[in-house]
Amino acid sequence: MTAAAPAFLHAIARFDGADAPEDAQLRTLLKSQHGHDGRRLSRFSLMALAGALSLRDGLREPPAARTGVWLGAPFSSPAKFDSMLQVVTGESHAKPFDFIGNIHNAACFHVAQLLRLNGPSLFLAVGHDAASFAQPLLSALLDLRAGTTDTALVGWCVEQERGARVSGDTATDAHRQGSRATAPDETSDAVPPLEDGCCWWLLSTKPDGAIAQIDILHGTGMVPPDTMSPVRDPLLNPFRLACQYQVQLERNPVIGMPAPLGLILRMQRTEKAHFPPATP
Amino acid sequence: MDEVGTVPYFQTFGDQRIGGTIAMDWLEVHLRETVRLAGWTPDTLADTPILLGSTSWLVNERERMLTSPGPAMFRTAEDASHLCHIARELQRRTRCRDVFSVATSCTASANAIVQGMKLLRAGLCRRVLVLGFEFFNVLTIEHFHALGLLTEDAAYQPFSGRDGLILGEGIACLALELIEDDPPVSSSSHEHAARQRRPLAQLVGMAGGTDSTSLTSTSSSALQDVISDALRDAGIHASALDSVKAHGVGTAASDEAEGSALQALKLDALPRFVFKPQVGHTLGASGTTETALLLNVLNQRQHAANETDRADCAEMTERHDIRTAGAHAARPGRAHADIADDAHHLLNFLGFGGSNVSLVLRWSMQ
Repeated sequence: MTAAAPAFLHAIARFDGADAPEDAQLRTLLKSQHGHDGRRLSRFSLMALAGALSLRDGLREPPAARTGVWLGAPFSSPAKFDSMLQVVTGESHAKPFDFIGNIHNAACFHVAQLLRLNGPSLFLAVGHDAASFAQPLLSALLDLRAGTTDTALVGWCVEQERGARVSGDTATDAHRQGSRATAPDETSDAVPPLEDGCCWWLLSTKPDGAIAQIDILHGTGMVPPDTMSPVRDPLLNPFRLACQYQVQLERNPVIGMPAPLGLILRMQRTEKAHFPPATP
Repeated sequence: MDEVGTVPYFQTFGDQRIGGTIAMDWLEVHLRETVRLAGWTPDTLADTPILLGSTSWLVNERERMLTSPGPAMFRTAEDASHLCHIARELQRRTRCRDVFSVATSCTASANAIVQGMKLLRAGLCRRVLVLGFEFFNVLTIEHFHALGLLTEDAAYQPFSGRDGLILGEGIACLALELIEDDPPVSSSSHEHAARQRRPLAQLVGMAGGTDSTSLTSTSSSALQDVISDALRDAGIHASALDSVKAHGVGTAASDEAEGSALQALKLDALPRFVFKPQVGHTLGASGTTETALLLNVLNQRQHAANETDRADCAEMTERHDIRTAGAHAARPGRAHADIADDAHHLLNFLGFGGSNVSLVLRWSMQ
């Protein structure tokens, strides 16, 4: 049974942190591609911007007040936080800009500011179970349904701990070199073991030009069981999972996403669907 | 009020800094006690979505791990850098499947209330629990101090022209329930009994917005928009409001912006509740904390006319552990005792990241 009027997925933008493993590279990329100077921003915010600003063209029409920003992540920037934590042991002085730049909703603010949006914005901590992944999406769908927003940017972002990223994620490297690397906890055979980056979905109440229609269902009866994402990791990576859903939607006309409250989000691909590259 | 270094701080949980395990115990106690006070059966907890709101989450445990020996609450480094740790632990303790963790700085638990209302209005559930919390930690105080936001003066007086705030810690939990006007005949006796209980208040309006002009300060116009949206959502005009629970954080710029917004909407003459002088700025917990305190004041209205009176919070449905619960009238307008028996109240919450939230609460004399 459908519990709400549908919303429509219009575009997907992704930024893979492996494309700019050093923060300086990320700032240069943001400057050259989007004209934004990302000084003092955390890697988390830089990546969120690198992804979201790619959706700028899709946001030209709706008025700013009618567009909201939802972001799901396990944390904001672990690296910035660890740096701030040193003040507790007296190893450094408190740096105001580090603190301000690493409030969890800072990335939401920067996205809203650069895209000139002033609808609601929300940071939700996700990743503790499969249904938590869908929390920001469900929240956005409810606002679209209620008419408080016409357009929603929904993103999932993960900043990987620096050690794992810079020292070389061997699984990612192996995948890039063409060998078969398997993520230990998620079964998709098309998504590389992405660790660090963000994925944004642009949603609207308008059907024209949409990639997919999204419905909120009270049961799984209308979704093929084999399209339900199998997630076994208790601490899943929401960025990777977002990419995994994209691949599933490319391959299947209908997929299901487990959501809070026992709900299922059903995504039906449209005939005009066009996806960005899912793999590097 | 205890001194921490050279700045005052409102301590709620005693002199000792509490770590993660004790914090989790406190959170669980508040959830269970709120369920009891709401008149829900204990097993309701497993089926009721929980919406969490906080600014510092378990920073207190990260600090404890650095400064004190003993077993760590987090099993791995990844675990420690995961805000969902509390959600997962509450899932384990309560068997509740759905825990939402809202992190929008000082509006976190206010936004959690909004999210809970959205679930209820959409008919996706009948009840939600909203839990706001903030625990003492050095990291927050040091950085607020470095930002020049803290006052060293123990006299905390928002809207007075003074500049500076005092932080505090606290927990408050609200039980929200969808109550239908015409219950189905086949409803259970428990549901029937629940409907017979009168709610403390009705949440009739809500709105959130992002002020994208500044990461750290609020503009009057952006707040006016959010207040107007909340009034529109409630279906009332500004003239129908009877009081304002101001954010009233105590910094000159924020107080000026909020005061200006209230003036522009012709709300500056209304009684204005400001709770931070009694409990401190509890950051992400202020949404639930100050909503609970407003309900306490309204339900003990006879005491509220005197701004120094304290409200007894023992029998409230909402649960909170703030030792000094009371109302402070920064600009009384007319006396609180004059508030109508059936009244609408505006609640403002402002936060870093341009996050503004307004709620409209309807309260009736019981």
